[in-house]
Amino acid sequence: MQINPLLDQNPEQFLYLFNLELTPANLDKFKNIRYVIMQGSSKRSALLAKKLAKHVAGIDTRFFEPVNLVNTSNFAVYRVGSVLAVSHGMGNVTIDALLHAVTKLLHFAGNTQLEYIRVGTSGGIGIEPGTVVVTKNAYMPNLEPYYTTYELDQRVDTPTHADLALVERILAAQPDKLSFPIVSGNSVAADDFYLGQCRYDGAMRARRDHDYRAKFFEKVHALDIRNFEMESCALGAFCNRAKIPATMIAVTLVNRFEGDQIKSSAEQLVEFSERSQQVVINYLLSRKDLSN
Amino acid sequence: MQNLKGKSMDKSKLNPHFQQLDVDYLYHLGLDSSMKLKAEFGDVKYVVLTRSFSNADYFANQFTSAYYGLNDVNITCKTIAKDERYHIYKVGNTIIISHGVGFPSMLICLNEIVKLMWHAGVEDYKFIRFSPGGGLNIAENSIVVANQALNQQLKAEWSNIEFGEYYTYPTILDEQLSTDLITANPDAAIIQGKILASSSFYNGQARTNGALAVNYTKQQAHEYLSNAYAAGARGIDMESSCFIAFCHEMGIPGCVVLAAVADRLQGNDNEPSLRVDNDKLSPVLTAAGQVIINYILCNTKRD
Repeated sequence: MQINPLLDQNPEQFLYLFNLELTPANLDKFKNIRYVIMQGSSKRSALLAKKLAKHVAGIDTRFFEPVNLVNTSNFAVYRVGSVLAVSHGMGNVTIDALLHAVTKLLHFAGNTQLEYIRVGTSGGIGIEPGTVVVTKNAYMPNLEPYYTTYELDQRVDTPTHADLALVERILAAQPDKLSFPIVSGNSVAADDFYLGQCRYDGAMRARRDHDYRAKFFEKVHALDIRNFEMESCALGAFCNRAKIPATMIAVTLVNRFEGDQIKSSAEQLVEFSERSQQVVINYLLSRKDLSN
Repeated sequence: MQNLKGKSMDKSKLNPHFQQLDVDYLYHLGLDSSMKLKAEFGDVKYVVLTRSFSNADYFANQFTSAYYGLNDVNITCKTIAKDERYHIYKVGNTIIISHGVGFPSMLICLNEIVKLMWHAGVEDYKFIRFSPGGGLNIAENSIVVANQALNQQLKAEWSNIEFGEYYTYPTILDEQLSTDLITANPDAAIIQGKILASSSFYNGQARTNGALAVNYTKQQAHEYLSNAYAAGARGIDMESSCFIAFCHEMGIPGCVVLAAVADRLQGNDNEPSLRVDNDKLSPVLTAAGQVIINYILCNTKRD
């Protein structure tokens, strides 16, 4: 883990994005963390925290509600053992903000050995809906394997690849009789859910026709890209610079070769999103440092 | 009543494809076109967008109290549709919605609200977005009204990758709505200026206290922010260039009301707390909300 050296020159009293005073009592809540599991919505993070409480600590979750440890409605942070279950909202910009905030907090609390895993949903490229994809490398929607940001007025392109050893550990931790398909592959993180992911059903007109898109999707598939979502680039870029092992586990809700809209029933969507949580739980349970 | 003037949206810009779907699923809103959207949303004139769930919750209550003159009653509005991604409220002629942090989350919201308005048969509506943000050489707790935004290279442009290729959109809107907003608030000290919009809260906004090491000095950061000020920027956020580009492209009258919670040219990397007593917004956000309420109320015909 490699942190901004300026942070230790000017110790901060207050973490703005979490609206959190950095008092010893508050920092104490974040000591001895090993895993940060990130999801889009706070509801899914709370649900994961409940499942972990049951599996890791044997808690009867009928009588357990996880406590949000930060004071903002933009992000939620729950803790079970050495795992933080956090939410980041939708898109590269919001997960970048969350990554900075949570990493600063964990650094100030004295943590040095961390793994970051995003658990989410996505649109599949040529695979059955319900397939879980573990990300090896993240691409921008122009199919470049980096994340472009600007620092002052200078363009910065940061590599976005995941930690392949972590990807292998996650795959190896899955039981043989997993009831759904799981693959490793590459991902595209688009900032525009509609035109960025080549959809025709947004408010703005698409400038390219279906033939163009079919050829583009062939190119996408040939790069071993198996899903489109909205955060893997910022996650990969941040974690490469911070030297934190990271990857993404995302279930696919549609096969984009077949259509644009997400039409599965609410029950089916819930069952699909349980799958990516199940994969990360299988991984976490294979680890020896979950409770501390 | 005074001016209901202003242009309505440019229908030729609206994508015809979604209009032809049997059922259009507005997935992130949790609505679809088989619902009675005309009955529920057919009278909408204004869409107020803000960043966080709690900002939307608070503003919905503030707006409702003012709209219905409920001075001595504490009220709590209920969200409609799905509340996992955005909090959506409909009060009188106004939709209030949280759009999340950053332009990608907001852009989904903008797309689905425009689709919703079409399904509801609404053609003449305005977008007003408000949120906390940084200030540039203005007093802490100032209100900035903007109809222009700058990207991080200080150009009035926003770029988007569509079907694999970059396209660039202008980030300048007609100033009519900004002017009307200011006219409706003769007593408020409002600063007109541009918003500098970045895609990264720390390294994209010239802060030096992010988790990642930076390759610029504090002095270079200050120079950059001074250049942004010289280019007309008075506020900083993570959404406005995309917001203004989208409104411009679709021909929707729009403007931004930014509550500046710190002056970044005074060296404040760390903004003060935004929430006081858990549920109350900071005074400047409440004041920014009031600016919008005053505008909507004095442009709304009431029986």
